[in-house]
Amino acid sequence: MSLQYFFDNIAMLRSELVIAVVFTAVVFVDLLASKKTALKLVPVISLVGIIAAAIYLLTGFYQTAGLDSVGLKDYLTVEPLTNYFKLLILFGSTFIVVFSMYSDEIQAISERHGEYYSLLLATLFGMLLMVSANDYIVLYISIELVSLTSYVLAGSMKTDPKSSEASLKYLLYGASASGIMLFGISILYGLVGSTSISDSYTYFSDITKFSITNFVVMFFILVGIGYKISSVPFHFWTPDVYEGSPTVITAMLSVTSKAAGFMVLIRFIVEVFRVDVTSNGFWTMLEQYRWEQIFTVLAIASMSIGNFAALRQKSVKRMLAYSSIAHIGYMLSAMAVLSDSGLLSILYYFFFYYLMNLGAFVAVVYVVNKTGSDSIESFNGIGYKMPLLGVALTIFLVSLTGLPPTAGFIGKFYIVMAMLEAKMIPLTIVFLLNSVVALYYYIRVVRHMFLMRSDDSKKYTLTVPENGILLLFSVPVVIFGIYFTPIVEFIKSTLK
Amino acid sequence: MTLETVLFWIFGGLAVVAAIATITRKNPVISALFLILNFGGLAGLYLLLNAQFIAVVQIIVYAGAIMVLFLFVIMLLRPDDEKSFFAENKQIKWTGIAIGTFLFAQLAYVIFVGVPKQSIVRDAQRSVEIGTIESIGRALFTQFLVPFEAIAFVLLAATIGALVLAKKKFD
Repeated sequence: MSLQYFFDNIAMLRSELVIAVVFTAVVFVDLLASKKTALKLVPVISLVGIIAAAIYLLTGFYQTAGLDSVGLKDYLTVEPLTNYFKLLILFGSTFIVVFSMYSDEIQAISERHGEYYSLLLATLFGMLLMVSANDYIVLYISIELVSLTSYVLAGSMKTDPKSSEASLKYLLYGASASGIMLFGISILYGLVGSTSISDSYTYFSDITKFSITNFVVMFFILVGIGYKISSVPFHFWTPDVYEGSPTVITAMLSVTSKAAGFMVLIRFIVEVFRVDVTSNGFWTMLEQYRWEQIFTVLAIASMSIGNFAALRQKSVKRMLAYSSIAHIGYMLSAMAVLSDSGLLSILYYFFFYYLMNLGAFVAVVYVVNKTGSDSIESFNGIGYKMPLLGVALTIFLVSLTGLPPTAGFIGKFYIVMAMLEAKMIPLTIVFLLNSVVALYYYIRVVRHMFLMRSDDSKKYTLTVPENGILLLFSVPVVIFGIYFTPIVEFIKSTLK
Repeated sequence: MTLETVLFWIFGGLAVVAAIATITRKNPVISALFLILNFGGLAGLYLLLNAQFIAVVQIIVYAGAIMVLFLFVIMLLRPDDEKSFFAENKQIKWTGIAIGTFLFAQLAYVIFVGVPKQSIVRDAQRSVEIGTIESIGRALFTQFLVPFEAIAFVLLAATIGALVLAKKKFD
């Protein structure tokens, strides 16, 4: 193998290349430009760079030919499915940068803007690499890149003790989880003799080599992935970290880094444990590893614990943290179906989840900007003080509950259809009951916004771009709840 | 006795003596310094096994970076008198002895009793081939160039992150 292959293939990593360049550019601009210009230039460069990466990715969205030849395909997979996830992550990151520009919490640390944005871009680079990883080493490196930068970003409001607490807790959980995962990977390497994820299929499918060690390895790697997507029982860091971090970073952790983590989970299951796909789209799995049961248990635990813990939260950010655990539970129950339609429903759900969750978080960012707190009392009367925000947040919360006619309903509808197709009635019932529980705590926020009067009579106004961002999310959430065919068709095309 | 055997006894003896000194010294700084000596002895053993890369990494990472970190932690925390510490926390000593015995028994079992399922001679041969610095360097800079470059980004991001967390005032 010579270096020539590398140059032939590197162009396949479109978005990663652009982000790597932008990341370096931000570091340099921050160092070289004067303080004032850097302050203005750095967010703009990041934003333009991310959009450019997304466009460049779109130009070769369905192209897979380059990697098939040689070289990089041993440890990186580039296919429409991964490109779809990358597009989602780039889309989310674009708005994370935009939110940062409008968040008072982030503006307050303007002296660290260069570092803040360069770390955001480094996280993005890690997530893109994570989506493509088809090798345990690449996987581990990219997870570490995402984690290391996230620890710092979570603690970027250094003067706030809660932010530092979030950072430290995240570090401790993250370090243990990735340590356990690395231990599993090293045992697996000892068993298989290769770090490629695809190669471990030959080992796991060999019935003569079936032993308890395989389960240990499987569980250890699942710990690492489960921590990244914060599914129960690896979720303990989530509420504290989400509450303490700047709201923008909370949005990032609950949206983009979860998508990357979920793609890793999909890759792990599909490459290592899937034998074949039957004609009606169901996956034949390696029987002895019982993934259907594992996913069912994880899904029920995540949904129930997430939803019931969210009921009692006073902080809206903390409530959204628990609700994001519940949403991972919904997606895991689609994973338990182990079929193409289950996978598709996850892809739909992620798109809609992006819209409604990012929208909900930007609304919370504005409320925190104005009132300086994210407790549920600070939402009192917001519906009258900022009518547009009140209506938009109501739409997002209704959509997160999964009621028609919003995008969240369509997402849940497809998951339920996939589960019914596989005749998983008990799981479906738990799923629907959980949605009812979720209704209570989402609507509680709406009640505070519209039915509770606030003590003061302060008037809050949002600027035109701020209102524009709210509309940018709330209008699609409603439109996709009614007319969703183009999205569904587009996502279907990524799986062919 | 071949030269290899002589060197084995020298390095092995060095490692054992240094390890014993590490746990018997009262002053934690001296313990840490003996641990570095122990790592040096182990690195020599690795070199005898033709694992050049691991030997170098042992020196650079363990004896270099990690031990410097250890020493910093020891100096910053200034642990109190060790005797009174152990007098107050008796169970720590016994936990340490239990873990040590367990690890020793495990290793002894693998070496003397445990029969490997498949012949390890072939794998050992292969690990010598791929364990040289040359082959690792070749793999890093051809096949695994992308992950290697990604590590560079991890380092850069970690440096920036450490700066953000450690620096008190930005100007």
